Amino acid sequence: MTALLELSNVSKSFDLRAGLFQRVIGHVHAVSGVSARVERGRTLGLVGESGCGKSTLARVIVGLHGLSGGEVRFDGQPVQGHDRALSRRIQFIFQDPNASLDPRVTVGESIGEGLVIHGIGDAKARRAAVGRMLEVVGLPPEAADRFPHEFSGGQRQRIGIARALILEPELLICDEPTSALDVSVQAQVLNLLMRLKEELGLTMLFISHNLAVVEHIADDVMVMYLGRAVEIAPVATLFATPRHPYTRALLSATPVADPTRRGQRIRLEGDIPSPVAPPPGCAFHPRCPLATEVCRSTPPALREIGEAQVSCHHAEG
Amino acid sequence: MSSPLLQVSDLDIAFTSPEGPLRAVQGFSLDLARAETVCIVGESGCGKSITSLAMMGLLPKAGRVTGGSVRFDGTDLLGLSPRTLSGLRGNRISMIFQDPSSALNPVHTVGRQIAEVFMLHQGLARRAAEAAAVEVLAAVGIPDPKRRMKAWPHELSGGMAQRVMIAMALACRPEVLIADEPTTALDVTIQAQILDLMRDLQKETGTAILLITHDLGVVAEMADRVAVMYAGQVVETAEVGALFRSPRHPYTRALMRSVPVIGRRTAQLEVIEGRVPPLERRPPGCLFHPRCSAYREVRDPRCTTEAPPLSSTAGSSCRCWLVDPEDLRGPEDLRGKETTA
Repeated sequence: MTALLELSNVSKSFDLRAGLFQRVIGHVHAVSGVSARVERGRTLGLVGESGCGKSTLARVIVGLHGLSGGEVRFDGQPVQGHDRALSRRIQFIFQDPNASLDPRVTVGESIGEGLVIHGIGDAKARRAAVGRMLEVVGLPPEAADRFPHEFSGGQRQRIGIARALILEPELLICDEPTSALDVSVQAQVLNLLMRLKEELGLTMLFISHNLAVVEHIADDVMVMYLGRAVEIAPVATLFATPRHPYTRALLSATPVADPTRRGQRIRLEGDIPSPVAPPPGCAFHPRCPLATEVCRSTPPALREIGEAQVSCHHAEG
Repeated sequence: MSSPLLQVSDLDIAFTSPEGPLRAVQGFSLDLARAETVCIVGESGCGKSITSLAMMGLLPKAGRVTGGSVRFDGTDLLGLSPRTLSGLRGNRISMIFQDPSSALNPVHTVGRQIAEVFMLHQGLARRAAEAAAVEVLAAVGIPDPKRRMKAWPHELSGGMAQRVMIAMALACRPEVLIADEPTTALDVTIQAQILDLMRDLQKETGTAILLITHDLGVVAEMADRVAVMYAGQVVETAEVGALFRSPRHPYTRALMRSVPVIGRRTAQLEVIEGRVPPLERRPPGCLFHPRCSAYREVRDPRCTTEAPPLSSTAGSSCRCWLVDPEDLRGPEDLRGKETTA
């Protein structure tokens, strides 16, 4: 069976320019050699801290950024740059629902915009489709004639979801969709995405820095550090037996809403290094409690251990 | 029992508006003892930040304290002249904020800003102040502190800048540290470092910490006691273990069931319908009743007409008509499904 989305050795670097003539003085290695696959109907959670390359990877997948190396295949076909047919099949939901809605355009027009762009249906059919979408995301039909400012943050995120789903995409990429929301509102949006995943059989790439949210919604999880995939595993496996030392540190650093589980955390020293000059060998070695000589010189390959793929010289089965 | 170090009683805060004063915070009370960590938790707009600003005399222009008192070690802070209060701030009471980069002065080096604290508050000479600054930078875990003294704020990462803020806040070994969402803008591994740092320093100096956060995980990690706020009121206070074991107020219960917890994957998260009422449209009766599932079940007429008092028993308190103050667990019909499996 072919995967809906298949990444092989995907890399993306940006030029770093400076000076009067804007000469290239270096490269930001945002994503380095990431391989992964997402089967139809499954949700891949993408976790990592700021600067780990998770958002860049998402933009590379839809062709918003060109590739510096490797290949992205969507439904068997290689993705090359941004193309219209593809933009209908892959849709995006962003962190800030305010920034993605035009304040001067009614909610109905915003939701239906994709249909207009792709020339789907006539005005009447489009209006009906918008009405159906509003119902799907749990907003009243009157919402179509109102403006974004009349809605709360959670409702605006629902509008963003309706706007993405109206084109019936095969892949939905959610980039931190609940990070700007209060927890009670976050619950509404997560419940909605869970329900849509069930009912519509959506395939999702779900990007978040919040491990609890990812555990809740994902089937598989990929942990990224400094542009590299350090561990990929089914969600239950990853949370039960995290194998990469970074995954373990990340899990252990996440505060859990249960005071009886308060305890000694794995303390990671130092900051995330700059992606302009990533450390040689394993990028995690300067902060890693297990680091040895080999980690300082040789980058570890992603290898299979049980159901997981781990990129660490010291990970064991 | 000795009297608490910081004692806030019945604090009322109002904002002026064209339609007359709007009550942002009503009857806020809180005690903070030496070496204790109390968390104020709530969603945006619940009044948690404005309360901490009011305690320090730092309310924005439109805001005014209209009642109550803030006693620190016996003196009422609200009665002090701005000059005396500013002498206390940064010296015996310190604050750190969510965004460290906006709280550091971009045109002075990090070292100068920290040294200034010692010169202003402890009257040290420049050389001595600089030596003291290097020491506190080392204490908050900044590598190569001597070199970092010469760094400009923009050269620091978020975690580093927050450490510098903490170094400044702790420079004079304050008796009270008010931390408003100190780790919200940071990544989790950096957040863990900062929380550990605050805990270690508290162990060393006995500083009392008032930690304001929206994150129940941070509350569970850090708090000895917790005050839950909703729409400008404290709705529940309890010792941290008791609060997470048996939350009593319907809002606290709903809030806890609405967050995904690692290791407890559920098909559905609880949703609190509606939104926090804006200041100018606060409902009559209990402020939470329009969103309260317990009210929808019981339909007690008091919920819509009379404001419930904050009733307390044995170290906990709860502001709800439907929770019997005598019964720590709350009435049977309110207990609902437990979150723990």
